Amino acid sequence: MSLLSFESISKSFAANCVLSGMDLSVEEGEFSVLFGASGTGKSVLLRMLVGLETPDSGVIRLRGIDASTLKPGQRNVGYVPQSFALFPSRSVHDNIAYPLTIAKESTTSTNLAVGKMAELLDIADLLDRTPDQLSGGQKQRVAIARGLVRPTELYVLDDPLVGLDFKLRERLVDDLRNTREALGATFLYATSDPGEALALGSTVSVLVDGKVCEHGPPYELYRNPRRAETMSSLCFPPSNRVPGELRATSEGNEFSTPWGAVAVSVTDPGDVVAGEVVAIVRPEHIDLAPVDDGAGPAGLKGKAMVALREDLGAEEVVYLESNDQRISALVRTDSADLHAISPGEWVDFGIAAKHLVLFRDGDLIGRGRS
Amino acid sequence: MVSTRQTTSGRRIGYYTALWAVALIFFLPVLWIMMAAFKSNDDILSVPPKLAFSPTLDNVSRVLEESSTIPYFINSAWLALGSVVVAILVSLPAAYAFSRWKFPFTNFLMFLLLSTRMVPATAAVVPMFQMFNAFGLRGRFGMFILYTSFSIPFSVWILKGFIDGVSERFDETAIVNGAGRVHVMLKVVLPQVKPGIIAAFIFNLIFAWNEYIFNFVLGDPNTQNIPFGMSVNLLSAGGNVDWGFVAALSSMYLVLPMMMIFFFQRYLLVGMTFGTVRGDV
Repeated sequence: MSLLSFESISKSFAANCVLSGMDLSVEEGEFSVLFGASGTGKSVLLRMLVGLETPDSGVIRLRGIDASTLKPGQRNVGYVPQSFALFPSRSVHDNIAYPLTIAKESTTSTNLAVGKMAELLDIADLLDRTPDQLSGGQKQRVAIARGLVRPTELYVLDDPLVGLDFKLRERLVDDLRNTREALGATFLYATSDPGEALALGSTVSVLVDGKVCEHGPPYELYRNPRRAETMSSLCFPPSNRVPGELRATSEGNEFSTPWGAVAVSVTDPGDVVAGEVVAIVRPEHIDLAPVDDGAGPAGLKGKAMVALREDLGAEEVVYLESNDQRISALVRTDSADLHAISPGEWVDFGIAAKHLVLFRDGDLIGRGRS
Repeated sequence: MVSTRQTTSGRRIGYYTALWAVALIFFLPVLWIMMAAFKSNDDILSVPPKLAFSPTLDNVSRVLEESSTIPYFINSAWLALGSVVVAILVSLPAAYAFSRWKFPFTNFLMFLLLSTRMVPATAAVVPMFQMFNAFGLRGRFGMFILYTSFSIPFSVWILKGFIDGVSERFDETAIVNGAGRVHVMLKVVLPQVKPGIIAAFIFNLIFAWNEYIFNFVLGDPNTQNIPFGMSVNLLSAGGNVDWGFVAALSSMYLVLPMMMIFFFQRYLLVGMTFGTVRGDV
């Protein structure tokens, strides 16, 4: 029996359908990440789990019990909300201790638990301060500590790192992973950040159009996605979509685009018919070279104009335009031959055939062949 | 550069001079009454007013010797303080409910609530008199209920504005951890709306402390307050206005509202804006 399961959950707000018949199971000990873009219903789902919203239909089973029969306080779930919501008139210690104070735990055990959690999240020296004396990152740590201080087997974290700067997120991701290991509990964690989803999750569920479109270990979802939405969204910057046509030739199947054609192998030869398909390719698999450099792998090739360059430090996102199609490429910043290329100039780009993944109606149908 | 600085400094001096002048003009009647409390009747009525005079405590001692003075103060104090405390105890849950549950027609209900304060006292006093007579409410309990019910609408308005400013995420955090609504209201929301409580308290205290017409018409000897005392003691035995007595009683009467305004003026600003301007409180 799963620790937690969502069965055919639907929820609408006025005419806006947020969740439609969603199913998901969370096993004991998992770090289960619910991944999806903003507005896909992650927060709504978690709020339903902790009792702040009620589903229009469907059942949430918590430890085998229909959660609708339990009041929010009876569900025994640690909750870290998206906003800090730290009580301004209470000290950091009292904020963290709040769930235990409500549960009427003894002062000794409360102080012990608060001290332990503060140590885990590296905020032991802030316990006497009030929230207005903390930085954004410190507030977030306190909010996480408050959500995790109550001993239980299930903790729910609603995009707790949203809005924090990159470095802080990196550190907190590390701290969260260590904290979960120290607690040995089950985490259900919602995020819209693909990096967080891949770094933290033991399983990742990709939420699209109010349903889980794919679920599995992060490595598997990243390497072998079965759905186009998974491959598109589970990376930064988002993957590129290359429209084209699947054709049968004497040498096998071929994927034809304005930038050339490549041979493809289909996953289920009996089930694939020729016609329009979409190939998805990750930004790190777009090769760039100065115009007419002659470089580049075999596969699709073309010329594109540089629209924008975005420096990420060691890497750089280069946004290109070719045949009215926007392409994003992730390249190393120290790539000497690209250094002098400015927005408005042209480059050659190439995509190795093996990096093209073909989808029709969102379902995987094949891959490019080397 | 220097001339620009000089112009700015000159403007500032002019600005503050104008502010002080306006403030003094507004304060002059209060100053006059406070000075009159320590003047003889001849000095009070002299033209032009005497700024230099021999102070006397005759008026103050006459006020204190008057047997009804202390009861006036006691009645004013218990009516004002008691009604405002009860009004806030009632208004806090009402404001919390109005803020957190969006009932149908909430805005209209809020308008109806405040509209009770828009009716001029002179227009309401006659029907109120008939009502109080009919229900036998003329006396301590009736006046207490009257001041309380007059204080509630304004308190609800002020507190709702403040509670609206407290994110519902705080409530949710408490509820998820097992807290009930009463706990949320008293332990989570209340500490964050203290400035609103103080603003509502001061506004209503000053209203109840100053109220005259209802007290005069609906009250009885157990509820007669200082404004009532001033009106009935206005004339001396000879039929002239006893300015010295009135000035001394007024000066004592002014102490509480002036202290309130002096110490809590920042809360008055946030109160007047129903919490939409928080200020540094």
